[in-house]
Amino acid sequence: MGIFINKDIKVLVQGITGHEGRFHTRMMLEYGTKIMAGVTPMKRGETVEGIPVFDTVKEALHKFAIDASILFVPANHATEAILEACDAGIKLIVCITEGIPVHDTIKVRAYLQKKGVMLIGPNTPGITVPGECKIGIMPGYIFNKGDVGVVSMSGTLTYEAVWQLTNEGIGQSACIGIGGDPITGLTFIDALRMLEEDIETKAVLMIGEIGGTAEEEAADFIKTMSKPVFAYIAGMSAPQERRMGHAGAIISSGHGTAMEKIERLKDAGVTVIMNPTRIGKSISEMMRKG
Amino acid sequence: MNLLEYQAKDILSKAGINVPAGILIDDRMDVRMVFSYLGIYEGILKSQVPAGGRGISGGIKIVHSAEEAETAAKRLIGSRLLTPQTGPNGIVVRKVLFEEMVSIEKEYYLGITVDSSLGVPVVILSAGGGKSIEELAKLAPEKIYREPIDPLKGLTTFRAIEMASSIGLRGEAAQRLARIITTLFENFLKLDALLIEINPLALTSSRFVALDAKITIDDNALFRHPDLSSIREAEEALEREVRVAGVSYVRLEGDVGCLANGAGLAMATMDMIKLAGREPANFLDIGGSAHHKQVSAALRILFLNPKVRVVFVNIFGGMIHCDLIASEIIEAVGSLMPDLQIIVRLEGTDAEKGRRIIADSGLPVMMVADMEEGMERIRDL
Repeated sequence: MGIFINKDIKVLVQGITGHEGRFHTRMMLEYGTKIMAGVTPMKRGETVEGIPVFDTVKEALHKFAIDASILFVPANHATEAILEACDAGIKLIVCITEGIPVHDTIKVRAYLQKKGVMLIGPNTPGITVPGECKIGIMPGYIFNKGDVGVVSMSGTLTYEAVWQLTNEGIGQSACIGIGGDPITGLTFIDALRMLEEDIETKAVLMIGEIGGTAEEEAADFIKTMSKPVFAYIAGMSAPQERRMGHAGAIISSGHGTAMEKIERLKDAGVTVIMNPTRIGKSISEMMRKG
Repeated sequence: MNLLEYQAKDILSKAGINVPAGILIDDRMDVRMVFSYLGIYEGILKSQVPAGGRGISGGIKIVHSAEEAETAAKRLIGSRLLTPQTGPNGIVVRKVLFEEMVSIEKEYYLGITVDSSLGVPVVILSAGGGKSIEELAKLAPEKIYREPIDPLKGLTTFRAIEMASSIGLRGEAAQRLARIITTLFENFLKLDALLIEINPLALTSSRFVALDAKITIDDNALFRHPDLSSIREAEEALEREVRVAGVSYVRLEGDVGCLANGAGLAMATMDMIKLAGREPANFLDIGGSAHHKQVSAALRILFLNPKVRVVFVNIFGGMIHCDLIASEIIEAVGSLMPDLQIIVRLEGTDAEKGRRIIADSGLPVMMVADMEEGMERIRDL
């Protein structure tokens, strides 16, 4: 389906009256995102940056057409807020909140999957389509419109990579943060598929991390992609993880270290960048060589 | 949070799963008294540390007499146990579990964890238990039964019986194992566990007994388990400071301290230090939305580590505002006056304000424009 987010997408902010909700509502508005309404229980009638606040998602939807919701709701209420948005009929939910218990995410993810609702995150910096819209907390000034699609598990490391690209004169078609939690809605493969199908995207940069097997699974998908893929995997210098018990090792069947991920990605034809200070420069050099 | 073996066994036992009879010994107890009170002199002494590999590292001792038991217990308690999973500094043993010997007919493996690629809990069961289970997973994966559980449906007794029969159990034994599986799964959910493992799960002539148990609780869910927080073991002072401050810190061997916001950036910063030909002294992530408390605690941890010669602060502000970081750096440097080379990189939200705060302070802090310049400075030192 490509990158379906553009400047016309109408956004709801859940948890809009909190410190972070307020700040990032202003930042998103400055970026040009169409924020229609906000929700915080018991705060109906207030406004934030001129945006009306409602008690419930349903109320907000009664007044406005909404395509997507972004959440700044504290961890102990975040899953309820996701379910509220889903049941009210919103089809894209971006959950910025970090620290949500894994068991809560597991249940919510399964429920949203059944309902055909897309969940980005939790613990994601969101999604930015340069020149169009930003549903998230990524600093707006680091982006430049262009044709490299960025997908990442990390937050600030993504900003770092995007900023390096921009400084090399390489623009971005979209930047998708899948989130750093062990369980997330949108996966690397989902995001890679979106970028592969997106006509604006000519090349892809993937930022991964040690642990888990998401990068290994992504490598298998990348083999089927037509676009060039670059990758950086953080944590080459990290000591071997202290793992309790054997269950994790049985499930990952020994994968998860930076070296294993890098080998699998290289086998899939990915250009793996080893130096995090030269992500932008490496891609720039490679693209000039063609 | 990793529970200790005795804590995990206590939970299992209360849930109706058999564990060996045992008694917990700590450094305040008179070991000789304990053994004479128990009246049994053959048993197994197990160091209670939150790490595996105790057996091969001398943390587990089989004893055959009161004298032997007393000597071994005294030697273990207070010692620093170094296993492949403890890290280079090891962990001090504060408690020892003394258990009866169990005569085993067959060993099984039973574990429940979260499969992050499927996004659901998975039950793992095998007729080959013990230490070699990971080996078996590689050599003969078909001998390990894995059952992903639909989170909306849960685990039915019927599926549990099927699992038990899939590893060759029939009749009463299959029923018993199925009951253990469902009980374990209920507790996995109830405790917000990321891992519950019984390995080995021993079959004796008459029953199943959990000979060892590991439970890991999701730290993010501790807020709804106040009862579990109270069983948190005595921590080292630094660990406590780190936990209370809400930062992630792992001490390493090098002399270049580093601090970043976000785990990915923190790891990339360590990678960068290594590429500059130096060794990172730590991993330190102050988190995505740190407040001044976290930042000042994190800086203190870095500045007070005697091994650290250089500190690199690498911030790309999103949620975090760089001016807050800058003020905390000035505050910490001003009050602690560390004899260190401090290099700071600020980018992102309010970076300009932050850079100005540091420049105006007149303190000996080196500003760099980006990670590449930071890497060059570290290489040149």
